[in-house]
Amino acid sequence: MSSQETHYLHLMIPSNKEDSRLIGRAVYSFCLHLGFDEIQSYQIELATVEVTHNIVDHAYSNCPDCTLELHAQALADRIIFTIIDTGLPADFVLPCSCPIDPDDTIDSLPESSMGLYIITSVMDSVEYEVYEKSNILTMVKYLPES
Amino acid sequence: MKIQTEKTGTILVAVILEERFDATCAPDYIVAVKEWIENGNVQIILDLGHVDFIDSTALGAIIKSFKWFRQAEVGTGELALCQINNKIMSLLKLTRMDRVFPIFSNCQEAVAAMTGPE
Repeated sequence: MSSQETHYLHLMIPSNKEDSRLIGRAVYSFCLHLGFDEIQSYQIELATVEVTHNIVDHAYSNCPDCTLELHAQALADRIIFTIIDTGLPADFVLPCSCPIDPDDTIDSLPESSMGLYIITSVMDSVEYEVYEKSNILTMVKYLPES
Repeated sequence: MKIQTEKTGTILVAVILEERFDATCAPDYIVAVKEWIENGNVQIILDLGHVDFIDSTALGAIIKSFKWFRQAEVGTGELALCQINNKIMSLLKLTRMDRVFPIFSNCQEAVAAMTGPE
């Protein structure tokens, strides 16, 4: 992609997990188009889907009339993903280590709370802010070197 | 959620016939697992050959079932995965579950490993 070229994706969906699939598929195609391979594109798709699921479950507490927005802007060297909702602000700490320890007992394996770890592992940076009643999660992923 | 099952000896091979195994259908998987256990099936091979997307909710459901099969029949209860594509494998590696689940390239290998030498 030349530095003059910009690509932009904007989606607004109802707050439910079935419609999160639309965001996932769009992000996957967007990333493939911008030069990520299938595995990288899957992981970026997964990270964005995990964000939308957290919004559906926690910010909106399963409110089907609520909406969330995704903006993905490709710059010369990165994609900036911005996901916006107007639900309850999140109260979380971004994890810095994998919640799964393979050497631990099977009973200790977590069955949830892996989404934030996936998001922070896949993306190059993740920032969260609340601005005028909107919750804004901004994630950056650098483009693969060609 | 579409799951096709076939019995091979004491082993139940469950083929997930969905392209996306995610939060939308993970509860259906848990219902199916409960049914398998109630019917005495605790040696399970989960064939993910049709699956192209898994999220953390579905992964959590597989982990839950992994525990249940082990607990249902200590010593013989088992869950193995097979036919995993590179995308799903990348998630298992990212979460380090590739070091927890028994993983096989195909169902025949999984059956052979779970059956043991004759």
